[in-house]
Amino acid sequence: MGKQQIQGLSSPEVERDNRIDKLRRDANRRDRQIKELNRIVRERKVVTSKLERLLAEHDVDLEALRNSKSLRAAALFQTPQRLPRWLNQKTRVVIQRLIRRFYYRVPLPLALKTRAKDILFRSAVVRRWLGIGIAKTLDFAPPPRNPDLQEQIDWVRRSILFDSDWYLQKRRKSMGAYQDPVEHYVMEGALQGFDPGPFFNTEDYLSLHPDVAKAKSNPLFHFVRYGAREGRSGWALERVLEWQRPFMDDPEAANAIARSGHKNNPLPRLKAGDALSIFCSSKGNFFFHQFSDLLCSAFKQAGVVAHAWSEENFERRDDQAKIIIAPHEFFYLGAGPALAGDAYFADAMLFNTEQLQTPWFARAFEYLSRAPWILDINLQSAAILNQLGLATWYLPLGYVEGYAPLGQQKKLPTAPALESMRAPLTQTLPPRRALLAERLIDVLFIGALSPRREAFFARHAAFFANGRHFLHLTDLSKPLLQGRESVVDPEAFAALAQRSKILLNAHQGIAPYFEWQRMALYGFWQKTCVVTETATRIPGFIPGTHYFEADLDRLPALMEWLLRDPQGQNAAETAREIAFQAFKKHYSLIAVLRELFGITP
Amino acid sequence: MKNADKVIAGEFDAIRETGQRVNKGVTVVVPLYNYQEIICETLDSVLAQSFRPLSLIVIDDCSADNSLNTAQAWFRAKAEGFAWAALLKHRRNCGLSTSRNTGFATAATDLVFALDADNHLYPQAIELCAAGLAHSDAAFAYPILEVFGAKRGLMGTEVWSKERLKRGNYIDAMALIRKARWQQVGGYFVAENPQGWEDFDLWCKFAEQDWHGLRIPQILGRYRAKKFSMMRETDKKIDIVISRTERRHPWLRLDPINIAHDNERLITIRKGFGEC
Repeated sequence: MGKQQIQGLSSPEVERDNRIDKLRRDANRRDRQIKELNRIVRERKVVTSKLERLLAEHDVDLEALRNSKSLRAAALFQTPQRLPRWLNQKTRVVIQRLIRRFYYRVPLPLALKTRAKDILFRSAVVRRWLGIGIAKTLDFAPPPRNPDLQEQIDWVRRSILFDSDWYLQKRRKSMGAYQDPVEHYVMEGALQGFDPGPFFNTEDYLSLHPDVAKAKSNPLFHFVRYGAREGRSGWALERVLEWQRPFMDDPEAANAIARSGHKNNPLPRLKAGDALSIFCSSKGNFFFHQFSDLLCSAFKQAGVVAHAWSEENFERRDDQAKIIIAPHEFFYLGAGPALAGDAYFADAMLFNTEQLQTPWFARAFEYLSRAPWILDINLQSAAILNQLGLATWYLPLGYVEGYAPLGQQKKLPTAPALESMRAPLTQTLPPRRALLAERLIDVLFIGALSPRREAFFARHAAFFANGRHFLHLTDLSKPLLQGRESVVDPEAFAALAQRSKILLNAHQGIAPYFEWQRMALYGFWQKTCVVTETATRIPGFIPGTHYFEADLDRLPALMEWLLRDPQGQNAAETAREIAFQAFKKHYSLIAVLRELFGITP
Repeated sequence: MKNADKVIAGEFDAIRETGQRVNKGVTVVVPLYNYQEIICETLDSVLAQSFRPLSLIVIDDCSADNSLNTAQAWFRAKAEGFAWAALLKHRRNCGLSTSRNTGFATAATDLVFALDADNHLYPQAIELCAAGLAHSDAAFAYPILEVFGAKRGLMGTEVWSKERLKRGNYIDAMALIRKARWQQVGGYFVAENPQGWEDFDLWCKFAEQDWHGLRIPQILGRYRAKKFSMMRETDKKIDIVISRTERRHPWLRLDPINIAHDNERLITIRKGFGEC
């Protein structure tokens, strides 16, 4: 592993060059396509100019036009979901681009086109048919009309999502009299549907937020100035998955990027005896407190004097470094917003826990783009943030020797969710060396009740009705504050895991993230056999060796084998042992912190 | 005691009885009304329980179809598998609440499982619910249910919470209940027309006594979801049922959105049951 890491560290330049080459090739291909498009557009223009003349001559009433077939078709092809699924991805992208260009260049008033699209979008039937979930516009402030041009230019210029070189390279021919790519983008480019950079997709943003399209707001400006703060997703899930694809099965590639972060902006160096403050919102999700607690404990063992604080006991302290956990909560809840502008936090490291496509990440985005350093719990997401231009380091929350809340829980804690558990399970704990057979729970699943998970458990109810399982599916639509009846807190989760043969992971949605907290802290650490739906990889762990993975509907058969077949039982015993050793070795949190912060004893 | 209803049970004739009426173990109470097609499947799932000693009481509420004969045939063939099994017939059609009350009143055991004629149990249902209650002071135990039929999904995933109950029902009738607790609050509430929410009403009465339900964290039953064809009529009934329930339990703060949601998941106005 150590060697692999070093090799991984030495190759990012080569890899980056390759990537740049690939981007260039893509750009050339796209230019060719645009040429082709221009030809088609010229042809179409003839047709449409006729249409325009007709419009003027006969004063066709708007209502009829709104419903006209061609407009509906144009609006229909705005996002890839709307093309038939049997077309392959490439064909879909090409057709989509062709039609997008056509749509933007049809010399009809944009308002009319947008209106047609809106009418179509509003129909629940159409949306269901297209399979698009559209963010509820009701929760968001309406996009302001006609914002000041200079303001727009300033915000776009400041944003890390605007890439001047990239933009110039793509749009050199259409720049016309404009010298400044930012000005071109704000004045013309955005209206024509151009992207401001490789990591912001205009079309995605407008389809996610039709009201922004309707208001003819500049999408990038709207996102960085208003949308992010309102929690409007800035990225479509499928775009994020597309960027992640190269890292899915190649964790070393992601690790190479994410472990190195930005070389010219290294993380603060710490030494034994230095003071460190870790902040976490007191009003937020309870499991972030565990992050803060675990980090504190590891820093202390590494010799750094770490303290955990919340927004409630904030005061300036004489510390060498500070970490803010889950900025999307810290700066939004309770007294947090008042601290957002505080200079004390200007040099804080932000610990991101959220994925790009979520509203939570959008809320964190403003703070992340201002922060000098970002730490991310997810490897693939850390790699992508780096590509986005954010100096991000991968910080897996790993093993801490002697950390009590995740250590051996001799007795099961009492909580309403655990009330049905009875002796001997509640009073005794099988020793760590004991076989899995001595653990009384077969399968443990604790997670949010999403429609996808609900359907999965219902489909396989017959499997889960047999044997002894613990299924705890909580309704996450309410915030998870500690003390609520339904909560299974970290100690209880760990205690249950120590009494379970299998720790199950099924993804909440279609994104196949390696749910680190569940699988590592409650699986590997607790020496419980981890069974997951096919997930992205993490370095040092191989499915089939350290844990088991299968597609969602094959999980019951896999678990059946692990639980009841002697060969399967052996495999489970071996895997959980290897996984625990690997977890301790590669993911010692103290070692990770020593490496990241160069902590010297 | 607040809301001290009296237990209202129906007059009945015993059609068949097998075995000895024992007070050990669990009794499963199955009200039956016009389910000739599916009643055997339901009773089979009771027979297949891993738990013994088990008793069974089926109350036919004057079904208009062949339910009674079907049940009788099933009893002839399989009732030997229970410590005690009884097939009762109401003298007149009384509705779901009364049928359940009749069954509970007739049961000799301390623990009674309420099972509707169209739902099923998985084999470990009674065993695990009874084991849960054995060392807890909860008034009843309810498992996670698989929803099948017109819809697929889960029910009963959330733990007991009076706060949550305040906003609407989230626990189905399929539960193992202590007969003494049922008795103390006067059994299932028997409403005038229209009926509905009698199980929610029972949970509310329990909540008022500061008793609680015990969630069993495993899928142990199957709830049959049906399609509604007469939505408009049902809507009107639901309005009446809601305001009645709120009158009976003034601490409820029923949330219309929540109710609409639960209505979809938990069938509130029982289909097919006659009205007293």
